[in-house]
Amino acid sequence: MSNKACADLYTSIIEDVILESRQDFENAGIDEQTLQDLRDIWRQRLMASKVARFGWPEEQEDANEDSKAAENTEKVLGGDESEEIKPLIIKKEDEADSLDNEGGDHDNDNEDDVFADHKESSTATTTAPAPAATTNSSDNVATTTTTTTTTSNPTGLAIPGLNQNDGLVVPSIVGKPKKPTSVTFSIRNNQLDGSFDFSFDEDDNDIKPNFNNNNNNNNDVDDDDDDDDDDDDLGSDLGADSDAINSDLDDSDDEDDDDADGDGEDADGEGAGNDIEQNIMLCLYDRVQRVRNRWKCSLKDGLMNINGKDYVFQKASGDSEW
Amino acid sequence: MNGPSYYEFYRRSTVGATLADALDTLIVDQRIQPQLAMKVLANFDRVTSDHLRSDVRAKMTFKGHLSTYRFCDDVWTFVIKDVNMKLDDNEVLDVGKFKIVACNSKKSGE
Repeated sequence: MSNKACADLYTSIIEDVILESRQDFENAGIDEQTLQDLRDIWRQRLMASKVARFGWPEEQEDANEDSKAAENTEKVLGGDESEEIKPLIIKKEDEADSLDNEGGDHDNDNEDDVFADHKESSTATTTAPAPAATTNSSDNVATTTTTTTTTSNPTGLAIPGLNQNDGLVVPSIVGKPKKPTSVTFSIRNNQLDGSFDFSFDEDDNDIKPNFNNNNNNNNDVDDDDDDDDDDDDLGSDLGADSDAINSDLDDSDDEDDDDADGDGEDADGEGAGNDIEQNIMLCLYDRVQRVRNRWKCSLKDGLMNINGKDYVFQKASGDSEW
Repeated sequence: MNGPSYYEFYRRSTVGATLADALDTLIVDQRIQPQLAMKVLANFDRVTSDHLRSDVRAKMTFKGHLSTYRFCDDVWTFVIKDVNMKLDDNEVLDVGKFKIVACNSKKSGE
């Protein structure tokens, strides 16, 4: 298994590097203990990365800890399962009761009625004021602009930031002198109509300083979180293109880094600035051939990390279609 | 350095990154100078290249969909998706996304 070969290779690399660095350490006037410490730290870091099973003595302790940790997790999982089973059983009993007793059906009907009421009320609030919201928002812009010029004393801080939002908080402040009822409608309206993006943006604006000028309109458009939502899709590249030059190039790297972050948090936590790259092969190529969209390559002397484990090979041949 | 030069890109591997991390720790603690760390890394380049050539006998093949190919400064970079790898001992690995950085074997100073 090449993973075992990898452990042997790393062991010999460490020994030889330490051996060959001894002269350099002596020339630099560094004592032998520092060299030994370098080897120990190196080994510790390598073991912490868990890329392979090394035969070093320190690792056995880690292995014991791992087994203990595994037992603990199993216990925890077991507890969760037993706890999860109970409500399932209860639910089944409830179903049985509801089937047996008509009273249970009545209860369910009542619940359904309540739900229906909720639905009706929610739909009423969502559908009816929908056109009103658009008009309200335009009205709000107008009113806020006027208020900023005229009466900016009581709420002077909040008003400028709320202009570009067309949104949630403005009416509650501005609308009070006007029509409170319509204002509250518009609030619900925005919350229900709008995607989460809007509410998040406005929450951010509430928390952050309210002195956001019209420049933030552009930011809001960009910060619509579409990129986040589409990160897994090809569409993210399109979105990145619209942002800035080089952004999509950086983005691809970021995605790689994100993958590495997601899979190897251990490595990230320890290696400051030396994050171990995941799912990467470092090797030499003998030959790279292409016939139409079919690429063949012969590689050699490779080190690679696959799904958190390291592998080595002397020769590799790849066949892939573009 | 006299003699053949060695690629430095194996420093990106796990064993290289952990060495750089350990050296960084000693530098931060002011136990060694950065110049000495550079010499150790140069030793690592040489030792790793030699050991990979002489010690390793494993072979592997892989198939997948080539997502990105790039050839710059004599270095091939491939991003391959939906990779199926066959290692020795019939070990099979499936990887969703996988990057290859390959330097020219004929210039590796061997």
